Amino acid sequence: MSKGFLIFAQNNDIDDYVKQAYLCALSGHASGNKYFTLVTDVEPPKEYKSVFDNVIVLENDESKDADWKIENRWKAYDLSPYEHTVVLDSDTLILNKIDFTAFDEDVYFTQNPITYRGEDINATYYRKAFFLNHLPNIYMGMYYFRKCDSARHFFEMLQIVMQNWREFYKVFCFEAMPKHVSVDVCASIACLLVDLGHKRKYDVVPFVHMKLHAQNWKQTNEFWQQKVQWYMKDRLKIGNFTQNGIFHYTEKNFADKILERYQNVLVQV
Amino acid sequence: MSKGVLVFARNNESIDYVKQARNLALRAREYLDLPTTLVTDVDINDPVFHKIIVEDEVYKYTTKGYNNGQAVTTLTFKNSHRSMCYDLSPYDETIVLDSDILICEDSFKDCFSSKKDLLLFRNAYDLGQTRDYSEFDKMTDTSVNFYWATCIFFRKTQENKIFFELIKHIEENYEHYRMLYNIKSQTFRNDFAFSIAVHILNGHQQGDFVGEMPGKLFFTTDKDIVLEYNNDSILFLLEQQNTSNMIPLRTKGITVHAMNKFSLEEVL
Repeated sequence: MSKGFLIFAQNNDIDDYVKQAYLCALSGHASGNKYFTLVTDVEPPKEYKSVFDNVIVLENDESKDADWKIENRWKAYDLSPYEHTVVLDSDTLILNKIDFTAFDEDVYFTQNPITYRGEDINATYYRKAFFLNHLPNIYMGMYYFRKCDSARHFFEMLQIVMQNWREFYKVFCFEAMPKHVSVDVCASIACLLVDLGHKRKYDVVPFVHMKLHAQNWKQTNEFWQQKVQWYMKDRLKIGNFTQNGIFHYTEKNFADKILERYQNVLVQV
Repeated sequence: MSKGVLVFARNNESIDYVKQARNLALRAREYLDLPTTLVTDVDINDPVFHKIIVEDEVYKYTTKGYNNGQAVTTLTFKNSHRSMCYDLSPYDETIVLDSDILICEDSFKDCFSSKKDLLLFRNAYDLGQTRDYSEFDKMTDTSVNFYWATCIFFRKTQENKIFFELIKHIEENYEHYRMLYNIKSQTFRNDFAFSIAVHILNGHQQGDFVGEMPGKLFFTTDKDIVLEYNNDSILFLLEQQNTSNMIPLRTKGITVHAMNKFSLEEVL
């Protein structure tokens, strides 16, 4: 049974998401993982291609005119070349070998992200729409699916919700309604409609979410990198805490700082 | 398995820590049925102690402000070498207690039935209740869990030997660890050294290297006053934060860490 990782990355005028996807795949290789597929809209540089087994250039790009470029995310099911797929945001690092047998649901969503200290995050700051509208509190920064009917139904529903997000928001996300299409909110609505994303107490893969106001700090700066120190020798440490699982760094300039270290690791391998 | 209490008491210019330790030993015998070993730099002979270890080597002491409830006096602070517990204790199973712990019940007895070989308090409770002492939750806002070094239970195991050796190392290289863990205060603090050591031996992540001490650790700050101290009953005057008001509170049957050394000395 084929297993692998799928990363969507389409650059906009500001951010180089393809470079982040390259870093994500590099980190995955460094932690003993295999098989990465990049989904993008233009041919990536040759250097980046070396870490991917597949590069899929979108034929029908639904996010051509969008800034955030998430409109193609519902295509994961059809685009994935794997029977078992972990889908990752591009601004993540894979810090451990991911055990695909640990996923105990056809479609598994991250539901319990943690801080760099391994504690439950303060979710209320960013997730008002989820709580006020009683939506399943899922995170699409990392999720898994296996090719099966229930997963296909979910992605079919996700397509409908994402392509008609304004109408669905009016019904399912009336309180604190987001002004933009959000893959997390749309996926959560799709979960409601196909009866997935039931509350789980623990995640089988730790998902460290570095959003600034999620860290349970009493005082915050503008960026988490200003507030807490980090270093990486063998392992990534934030505030002297060893990081595990998937590390969602969120601040784009972190990628530039850490990329060289991973490139060196690859050279050594 | 031999069992006992270990207490450190090194007097400074104004505070008679040995007097506090004597009270602790009496209470340990009454409530816990345990002998007490004193580690001190004073040459004394007192039968209340099972054993007296005179450690008169001059260490690199610091100073700190001692509040008596009204004013702050800067005095010598002889808090170093708590890491010597493992080497100094004559017992297989030891409860280390600060001399200003006022034992009023027997919950520490449960240490000896614990499956864990090392117990510390992760949480302590301010008797003032309305004050903000969230500083005792984390070492700093971004840093590791705070553990109290005021009450420790340990068995003599290889793991615990390593734990105390690590604390020695942290103490000897405190400036490095202070920078690494973003600690602003330059004064060495045992609580911090213990917290860092626990974090390291948990593999730099959340873990279960240390267990929780039985019972609850209540404390009053050095701004609070101990008015009466009889049997298991203590009367305090508690400072109300941001006011000059004091409110009386009587406790009965709970162990309290009373940090105002001056007023404690008056009631002992």
